[in-house]
Amino acid sequence: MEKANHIQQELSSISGLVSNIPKVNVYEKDIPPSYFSTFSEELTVIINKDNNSEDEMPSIFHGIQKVNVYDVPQGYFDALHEIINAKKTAKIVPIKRVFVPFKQMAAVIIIGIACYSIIGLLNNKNEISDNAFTDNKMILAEAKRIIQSGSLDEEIKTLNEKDINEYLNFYGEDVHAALVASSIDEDLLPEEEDYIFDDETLNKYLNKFNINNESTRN
Amino acid sequence: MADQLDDSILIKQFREASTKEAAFNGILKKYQEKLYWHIRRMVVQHDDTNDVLQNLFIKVWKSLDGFREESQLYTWLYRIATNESISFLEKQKKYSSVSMSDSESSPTHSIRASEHFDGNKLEWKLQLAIQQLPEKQRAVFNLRYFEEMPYETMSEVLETSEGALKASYHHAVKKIEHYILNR
Repeated sequence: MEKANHIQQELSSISGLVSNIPKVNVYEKDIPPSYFSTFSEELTVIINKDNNSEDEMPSIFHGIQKVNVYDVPQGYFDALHEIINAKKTAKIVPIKRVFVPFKQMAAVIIIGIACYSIIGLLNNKNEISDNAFTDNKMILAEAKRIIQSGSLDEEIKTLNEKDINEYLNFYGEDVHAALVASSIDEDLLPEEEDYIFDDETLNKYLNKFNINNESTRN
Repeated sequence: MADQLDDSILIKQFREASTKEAAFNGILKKYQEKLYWHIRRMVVQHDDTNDVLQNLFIKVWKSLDGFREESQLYTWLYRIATNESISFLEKQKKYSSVSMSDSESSPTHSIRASEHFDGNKLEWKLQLAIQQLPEKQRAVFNLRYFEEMPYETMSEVLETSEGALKASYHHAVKKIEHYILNR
């Protein structure tokens, strides 16, 4: 096995060591004798068997009648092309664009509930309405911390039904989630990759709606 | 050029029912050995090579009628051989990660298990080093080093730009050098 000159020169320019390795076929002694002379015959047998097996069915099938046991709704095939044509022109909304704001909305609600119980422990819950601005700032600061630390799942586990009910009674629909949800324009949402390449993507997005600003003023 | 002419005649004959089998045998005889060695260097074991080679020619038998001759038969066959070898190796990797028999089914193990293996000889070290390369890079190195295939042809076989292939070959040689020096 000789090395062609230009291949040898190319190899020498990359690695002198590799270019000096004898070019031998180490597997040559390791193949059955007359393998190549019999290969085509063996393959022909396989191909013929394969061709015949497409027609030949196992004997169990011989006694079975070839009938269609399934029904379709009446007129299904007449209307099928219209259904498909209608779907071809229908606008497809990508799922991820819906998923991201829901996640953020859910995060803010859940964090709100979690913080509500924390604030409740620190203060008297009856005073929350008087200190709503301070409480909101605390909730948003805590929300930011939880989102950044990725501990949302852990926080969800700590919630109890009583805290959820009390929180909803207090804030009703006036939650920051509503702010996030109402201000969503699908076209403005960051792409999935943006979160990977830029840690600040979520902050930048929230800043657009003045949500993050409130929390960072703390 | 003679090869090209022969191939186009073989393809034409394959499309005629009366000469189909003879033409297929002509293609088999012409390419079986070259393709065998290309596959063998990828998958290492003879039995595995035989399986991949048989599958390859069964595919050729079934799909040569639809071959549009946008590329040469030679490059088309090498493309199928490379893809079949890579998918065989991927299946083998998946299987061994499930069955936990990684060491026994790996190409490196197969090389060492050969009765002719001599770990002191550079040519065997080279084979072990080649097995450390990712599958596609292994194909690049083998096609260039053993088959001495021009980059232009490799580009058609592997559907990769010539520049990328040159870079890949360069890196492959460096990795092999590093492996040999450190073993």
